[in-house]
Amino acid sequence: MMRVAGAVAMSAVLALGAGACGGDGGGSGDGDSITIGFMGDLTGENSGLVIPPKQGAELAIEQYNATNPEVKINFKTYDSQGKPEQATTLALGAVKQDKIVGLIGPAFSGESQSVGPILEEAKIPSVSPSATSITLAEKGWEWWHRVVADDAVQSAGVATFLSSSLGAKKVFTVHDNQDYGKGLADAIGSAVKAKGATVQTDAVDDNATDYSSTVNKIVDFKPDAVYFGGYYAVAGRLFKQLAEAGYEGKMMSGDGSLASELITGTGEENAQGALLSCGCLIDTDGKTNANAKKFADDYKAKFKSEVAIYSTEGYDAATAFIKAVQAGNTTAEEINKFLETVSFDGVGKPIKFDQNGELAAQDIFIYEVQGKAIKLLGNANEAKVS
Amino acid sequence: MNMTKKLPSKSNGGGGLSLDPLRDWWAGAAGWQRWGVYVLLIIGALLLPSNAIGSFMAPSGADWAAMLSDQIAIYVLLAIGLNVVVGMAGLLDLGYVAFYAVGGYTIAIFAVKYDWSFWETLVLAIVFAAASGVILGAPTLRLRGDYLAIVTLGFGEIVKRTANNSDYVNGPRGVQGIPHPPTLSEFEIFGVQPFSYGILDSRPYYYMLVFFIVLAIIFVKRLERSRVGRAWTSIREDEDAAELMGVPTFRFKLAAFAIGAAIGGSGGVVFAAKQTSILPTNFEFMVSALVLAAVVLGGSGSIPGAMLGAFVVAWLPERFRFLDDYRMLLFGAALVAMMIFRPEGLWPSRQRKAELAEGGGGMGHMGAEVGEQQTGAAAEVTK
Repeated sequence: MMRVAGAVAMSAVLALGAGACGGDGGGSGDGDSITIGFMGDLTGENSGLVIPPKQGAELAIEQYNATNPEVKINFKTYDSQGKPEQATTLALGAVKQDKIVGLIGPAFSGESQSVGPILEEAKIPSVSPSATSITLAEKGWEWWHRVVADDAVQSAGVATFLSSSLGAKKVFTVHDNQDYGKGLADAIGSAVKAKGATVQTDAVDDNATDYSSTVNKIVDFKPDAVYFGGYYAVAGRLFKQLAEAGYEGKMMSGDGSLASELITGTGEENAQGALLSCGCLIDTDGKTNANAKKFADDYKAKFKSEVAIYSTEGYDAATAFIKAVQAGNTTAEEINKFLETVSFDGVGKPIKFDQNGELAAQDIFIYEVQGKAIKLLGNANEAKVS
Repeated sequence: MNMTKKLPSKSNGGGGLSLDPLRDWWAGAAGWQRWGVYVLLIIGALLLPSNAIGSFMAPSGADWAAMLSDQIAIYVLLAIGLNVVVGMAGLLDLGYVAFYAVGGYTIAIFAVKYDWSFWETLVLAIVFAAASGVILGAPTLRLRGDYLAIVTLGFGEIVKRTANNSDYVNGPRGVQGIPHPPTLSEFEIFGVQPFSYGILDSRPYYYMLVFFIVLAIIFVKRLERSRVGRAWTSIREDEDAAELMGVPTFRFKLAAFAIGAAIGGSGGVVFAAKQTSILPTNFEFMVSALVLAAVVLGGSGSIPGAMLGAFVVAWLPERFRFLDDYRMLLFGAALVAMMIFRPEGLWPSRQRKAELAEGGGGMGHMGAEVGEQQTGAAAEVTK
């Protein structure tokens, strides 16, 4: 009896504590502060791709609030774990209870499909730092924007890079049979084919660990380059097995694999020279512009880690909202109107949206694994393999 | 007929939180008292999405009404369906999510490709889900216990993989643009339009689910009290004895599977219509596991127990969302605590509880509590 009572008392204490913590959510619209949300997978299995943009956005808003502006911005995060069904619940809460005036995210394309209609009907502008699915811009959403090029642009950029810079005549594409990976690999396959290369393709199971049947096919085909569409965990395993099977061509993957875990997964020696493509800019040395260097330093000072995938985009997405607020727009409607005409040089690329919410400047960058780091080679149109 | 009346009212299992006095009253309550309680419960369920309750239940940013409709009510409906299979007939089904997926994909295909309306697809989905229950059940229900669990687990995976690999349903991209149910009327009460199915207000979906849940409860309860229910009980307790006594066990097991599947399918339809898009990853094994956890946690075989269990399973992780990475750990700890303090479930079926106390009852190898009696019986056999 006592034990039961103890358990009940403990859960009651927990529940009360939760109530106390939950109280500080902070509604916006009281004149001198507004709330901007960030939604994405913050604790799930692909959170490695979403925490950097969250930190980027956080940094931008903190820097803005430090200037003592008239209207401060509250930053509130929504952890969807990348699951569409959780994202919709959170989005409704964000709209109704927290009264957000803008949303940075959702980070992934799948959840964007579900959350988009809600934001559209609630008339809340959103700027995604990382959702790259082609179909998102085709829905005619008026409140949706993104600061990253879509998968079509990425595949065109990769195709240019593979055929011009690498001179690849035979390309093998592999995907993980998931929404993002299959879309990217298929698009790259047809883009490379259009440039005159022969292409073979295969799918791997993202839960499996042994890819020998795919590896054998690749070794038989002897391609100049293998492109993998999918996330870093699978890419690491595949590249490791490819290298061990004696494959000597180039290994390449997309933004889903652009994480240092790829190097640990593949093994440092095997991973050397592996190429990655991304619509995001990770530029710690300020190779592309001077703002990038300052951002990388600020980011490192605050989070004690290097800028990573999409942190630049998170910062730029937040900056777009900040510019709107600085221009005196505090309602969702005014902010959306302002986003139609916003134009500034972000820390990544020039930020300007077309009428579908796509970024006007569509750059794809190529990265290469060098030592323990992933180094920027440059824009896909001019990048040269070292 | 009321079976609970005949059972001894003294219980010897579980902790101190006994529901027995309440149950004794309930067993003796007059018809009008029972109906009064039913009506009050339904009114309570309809008032549940109010903001006053939501501010405590969902403080960390999520919309309480959406949480109720998208997660809690769906899980409650699924748990009622699975309770028929696992709780009443004693068949361990680890692939229940397959039927939920069949429902979801039926509306996705027929509403998007053939422009069927929500209500037409709902009927069709229930038929399809029941049929898939029969298709799975016909070859597999001759298996028992662990073997059945493995086969059903496989079936759940097959459905998900088929959806993932089939271009007809867009493979891993899933189906988008599933229409909402048509708005029945603009009728408004207390500022809610309960029959207007839009995207921003989740309450109409919740009311619809409450309606389905009430229907499912009436249906299942009627069955439980009928010859069918008694046949399920006999199968659950001792299948061989039931067969020898002339119960066509295979047919009743198949019926349990089909009914459970039909209820799961209806949940899938509402889910897909509410979300407007479905992906194969919506139908992970995790859903099967959580619904099964809900049934066992609530008290297998008991409808109110399964509902309570589903509520806890769907709500706890959301309520403690502010704990971030630790919330699943705490959720697991809560489940373990449950197993220690109330092994027969939060709100056990009285009949099953008595059978468990008696020993030897229920679900073959599933319940840990049946161990002693079985070894006793085994010892007797080897003598």
